[in-house]
Amino acid sequence: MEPTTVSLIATLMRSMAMVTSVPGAGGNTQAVAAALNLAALAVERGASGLFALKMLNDDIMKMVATGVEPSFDQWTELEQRSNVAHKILQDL
Amino acid sequence: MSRNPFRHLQAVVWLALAVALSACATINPIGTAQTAEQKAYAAYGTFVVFEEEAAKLVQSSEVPPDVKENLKRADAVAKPAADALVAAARQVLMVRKQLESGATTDDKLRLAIENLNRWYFDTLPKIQALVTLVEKEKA
Repeated sequence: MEPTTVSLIATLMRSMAMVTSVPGAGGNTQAVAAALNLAALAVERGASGLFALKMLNDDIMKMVATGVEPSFDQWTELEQRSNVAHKILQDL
Repeated sequence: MSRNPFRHLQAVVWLALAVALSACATINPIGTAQTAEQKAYAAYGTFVVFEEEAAKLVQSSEVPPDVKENLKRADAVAKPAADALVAAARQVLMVRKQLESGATTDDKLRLAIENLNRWYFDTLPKIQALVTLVEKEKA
């Protein structure tokens, strides 16, 4: 799943929620609209971590295919990302 | 009885969502990795991805304070072990470089890899604890 595909799914879900929840619609229809909006939000929230995990998996697949080990630079890049996130968490 | 004209479209969207979710379930960098160094890198990378997600969650006003505290605590437990994993991986890289130039022996490399494996198994449950918390909050 590419970022654009996820974004498209979320947009489609929101559009459907909009057209579903027309004024005067029944309770079930309103519930479907609310569920669609929630699902769109969940898809977007889940997507950011999913892409990062997919990129990591792609890197590992390349290493396995070419028989190479992670380099100093690759470790350093991850370490820097971790330090940024760690600071945000511990400054809470 | 009125019929929803978007019923078929809804079915397509739910199907797309199901496909997206099944794609998520198949992404497993640790399972993909084969060597000790690749596995350590996959474990640390997974930790970083979920640490970043935890950092986003603690900045959200929608997340309750107790959940934020739990995320902070899980990160505080995992981070020192994860850092030790990186140090052990760097040691392996250094010894391998020395071995290539004939400055050390195979035994030194074997010991460095054993040390890396020890940190890998020590770190995994701490990473898993953070992953579980983040996934629970994002579900």
